[in-house]
Amino acid sequence: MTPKALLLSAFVSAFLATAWTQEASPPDQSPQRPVPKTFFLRLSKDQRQAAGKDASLERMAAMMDAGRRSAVRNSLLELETVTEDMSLLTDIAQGYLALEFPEEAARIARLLRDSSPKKAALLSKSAGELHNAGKVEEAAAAAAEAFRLDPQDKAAEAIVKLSERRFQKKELALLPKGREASPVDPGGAGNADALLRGSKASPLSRVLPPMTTYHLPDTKPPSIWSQIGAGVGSIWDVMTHRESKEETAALQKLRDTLVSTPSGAEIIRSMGGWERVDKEVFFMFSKMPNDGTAAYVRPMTPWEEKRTGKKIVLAVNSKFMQEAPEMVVPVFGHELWHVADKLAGHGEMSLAVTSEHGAHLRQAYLFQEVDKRLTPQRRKELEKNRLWMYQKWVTSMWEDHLLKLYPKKEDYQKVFDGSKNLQYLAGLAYEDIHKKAVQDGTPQVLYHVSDLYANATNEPEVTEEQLSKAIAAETNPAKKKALQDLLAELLAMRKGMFGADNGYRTSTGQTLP
Amino acid sequence: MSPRIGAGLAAFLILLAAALWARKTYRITHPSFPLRTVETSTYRAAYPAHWEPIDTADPRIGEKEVLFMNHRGQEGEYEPYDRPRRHMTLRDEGTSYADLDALSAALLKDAEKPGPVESWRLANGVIAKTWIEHPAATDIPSVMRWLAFRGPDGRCYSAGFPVPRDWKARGRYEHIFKSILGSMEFKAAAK
Repeated sequence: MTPKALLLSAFVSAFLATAWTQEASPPDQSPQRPVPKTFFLRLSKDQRQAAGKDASLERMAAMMDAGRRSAVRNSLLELETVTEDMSLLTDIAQGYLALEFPEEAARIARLLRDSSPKKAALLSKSAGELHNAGKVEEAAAAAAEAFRLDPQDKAAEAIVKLSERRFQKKELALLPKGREASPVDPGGAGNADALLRGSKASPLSRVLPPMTTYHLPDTKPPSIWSQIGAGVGSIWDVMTHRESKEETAALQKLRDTLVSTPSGAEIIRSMGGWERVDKEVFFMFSKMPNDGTAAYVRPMTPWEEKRTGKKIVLAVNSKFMQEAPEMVVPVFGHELWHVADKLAGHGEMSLAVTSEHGAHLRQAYLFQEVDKRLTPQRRKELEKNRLWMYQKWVTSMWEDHLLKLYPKKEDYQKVFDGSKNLQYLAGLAYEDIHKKAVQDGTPQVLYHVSDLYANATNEPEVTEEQLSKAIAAETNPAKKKALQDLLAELLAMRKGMFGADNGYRTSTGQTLP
Repeated sequence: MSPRIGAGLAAFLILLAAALWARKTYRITHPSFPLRTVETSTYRAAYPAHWEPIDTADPRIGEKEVLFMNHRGQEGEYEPYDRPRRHMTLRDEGTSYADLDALSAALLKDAEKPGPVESWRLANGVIAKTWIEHPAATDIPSVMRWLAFRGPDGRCYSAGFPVPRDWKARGRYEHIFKSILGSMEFKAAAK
């Protein structure tokens, strides 16, 4: 062996020895604080290298499988029994949050002194996580404590309000986002956004009002350009709106006519009276981008909210400003019902069709109540108007038993003489009932209203069926729970709606056999 | 690879992608289906065999107005453009109209925001007058296309269908409905 070869072998041996030593007893690179250290040591060697010694608890927890998480949780449980150190307890609570055990985190947070700056934040963060996991009561309790300690904590306040009444989830999106989110700073945007589970924020949603148009499953949603057009136009309308005397008078007439009917008065009563409605809703007459739209309701953007001090816009097509109030009142009541649903917390797009059903029921009641007061001559006059005739058609769908009332499709279509477009819809609906796509004499028939329902003759089941399918397919427990909650909300909403409908039918002697 | 070859290859790939896209789009907008026939006392027409069957002998529905519909419910596997229900009515307007202009004038009398009247030549040689309308005050605004035509048997007919919003679906269903109307064979006995 030459000296050169000898030297080379010595180098190689030294290198291998060093490598072996490092493998056998790696230098202690773990963090010094007990909780991060516990997390770090539970990671595999590769994971430790990937994470680095400064990795956050959340990052390390995300790398763990269920077994490791459980092991870390047990270590934390042991650790908490042997310490009274407040900073260590804070770390332990943060550890539980990272591991997604918010109940444990809330329990530890409660051990901290009220003066501890982290107590409120930990409780609030735990409340958010508990809420996301569907543990409503625990979430409310933790949020109430957090809110008591920090009245500025908007996320905690939102959860408290959610537990008191069905607070609009969309309102959560409008929470102030001034504070930065950190692992224990639930007052920031992160927590508010976390509560909006399932909603994907698009760049557009930051600038435009959430005019998420209902579109049928598997069909193409409205283009981004049409969303921009409708959204910007609608914001512009609100921001530049100046109520004229004429408009004020027309709105007052509408309101008076509405509450002069039993169903209209009931809608307003169910929302807590005009005082509450006026506090939340900005009413206006507006030009609609498509003249076929009679009215719309949408939540406001923060800018609009700042300008008007209200949360919801209810716009009626300005072409109805000159119309007789009895003609517009059913539409007005329809839109107010959407507001009532939103105020009751049923603002999700998945419940839009059910809300639409409820709104059409109110529209039919209002139409009948207004129609009853008319003289035959006035009725004849109104029958020349398309909006009136359309509402007549909606109400005829509610009457049900069309097959009994009209032995032939043609007979039913004759009711809408003078409007081939309504006759078209009437013929379509009649055939659907006859072909048993919907059952005659059920509230389902009302779903045959306009294009929205033309595609979904079994709409009550469609929404439910889709949700059930989504629940079955969902593997994430938190998301699954959210979908299950939505389904329960849908069923409760529908139960209330059919209950109210039966009540109306009984009170007016229009009971279904 | 020289820049010239690279540019040529890129141009070729772009052209190929465009050709494939055009072919795919054409297949959507010009579908081909096995057909079945519907027969009334005055005409017979062909429509896709997998669509809702039409029974003109049904006394409740009658044969004066025939509804062509792709499917009645939500069940089944559909392509996105076929998933919504698409339908067209074809109505026998009788022989009381002096000519096609008289029929279109009568139909346009109750038109809601009609567009300009155009003429379509159907595959069977019949000339139809057509326009679109924007029915007002419905919950979801929709566009309806109406057609008026007079068969060689002297009878007048009207047809109407909601126009899909998506351009590919619109192309597809306008093609299908036009083909159904173009397939009409008018019975000489009804003259």
